[in-house]
Amino acid sequence: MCRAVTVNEVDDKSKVVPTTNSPPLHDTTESSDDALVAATLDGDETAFEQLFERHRRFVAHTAGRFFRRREQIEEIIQETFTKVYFALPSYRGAEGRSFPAWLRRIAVNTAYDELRRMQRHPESLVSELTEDETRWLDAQMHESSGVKDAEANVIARDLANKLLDRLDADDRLVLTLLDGEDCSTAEIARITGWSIAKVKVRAHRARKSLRRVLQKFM
Amino acid sequence: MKNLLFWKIKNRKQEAQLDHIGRELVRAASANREDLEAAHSAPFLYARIRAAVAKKQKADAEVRDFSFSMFAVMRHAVPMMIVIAFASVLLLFTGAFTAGMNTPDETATNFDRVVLDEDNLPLSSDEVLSTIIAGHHNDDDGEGDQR
Repeated sequence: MCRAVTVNEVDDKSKVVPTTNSPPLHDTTESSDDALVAATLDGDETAFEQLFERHRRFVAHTAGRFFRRREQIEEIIQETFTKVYFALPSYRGAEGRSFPAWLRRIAVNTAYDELRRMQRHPESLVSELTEDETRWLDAQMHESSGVKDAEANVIARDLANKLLDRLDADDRLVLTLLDGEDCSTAEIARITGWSIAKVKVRAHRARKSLRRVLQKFM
Repeated sequence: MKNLLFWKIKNRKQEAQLDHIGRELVRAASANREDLEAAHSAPFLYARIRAAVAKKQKADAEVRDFSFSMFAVMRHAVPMMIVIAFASVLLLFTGAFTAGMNTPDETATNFDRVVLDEDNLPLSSDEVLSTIIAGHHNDDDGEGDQR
């Protein structure tokens, strides 16, 4: 199951049960998502605002897996909810899948589009690794679980973005969903609309590409 | 053979290590909590979404209006063009039909009309020349009479 969102088959308020002790990504106290979708389709603008308020954190979290800059995340949130607004008539609710799963699919696809756009217009060439980043890689290579302080996290984040920028959008999407979101191949297939076989092949190629990129710097 | 096996095991171990680092990197690539909080609680985010929705609705409406106006024009123009084309074909065929169905009298009349029409044709250069020569002759005759 993908991280943070577990779809409960019982028809509760928003059909979502957070899996961790962190604050819930979805507000489950008010009317159900399906009711809000129906109200929005009936022309109730406040219902859509409620949907936005309820799920914006979740969309930000999904976008944050792919992008680290605040402006990029905001852009993905805006684009996702705009797409959601126009796609609401195609949301089938209880007959199909839960609203958060449907929303995740739109958010991931929006992020994927943005990754592909960025690849077509790269902002800058990837620079060489800094001394700290090389040291981090060495530490990872020689010890499986090192002490992770805040500084190490910052170094890892910078390094990760430098290296992941070298992968193509498909590889990055698959690896992020597999390792970042802990999704299964079946879930990735559902989110992306690809076949399970394609996801498996993509994941294999993506790992190989990442290995190649890492080997270049080690 | 033993070396190859040793190399394979070493290679597999290295791949596993690289995959582990890869996983760590993918997890590390996420935006930090502060940036996420700042992004989803950005001021006017909902207003921007509403503006984007309104902009798209307006663009869609413009496309729809254009399509409707084009459809309205086509709806009137196409039947009109069909009627005109049909009328032209009809005229062509009826003209050919009436030409083919002329009686002998009508044919004679038509022939006369052709002859008559030939009288109205502009003068040829030979005719002009002969007229000038005839005029000169007349002048000469007149002078001779005076003498």
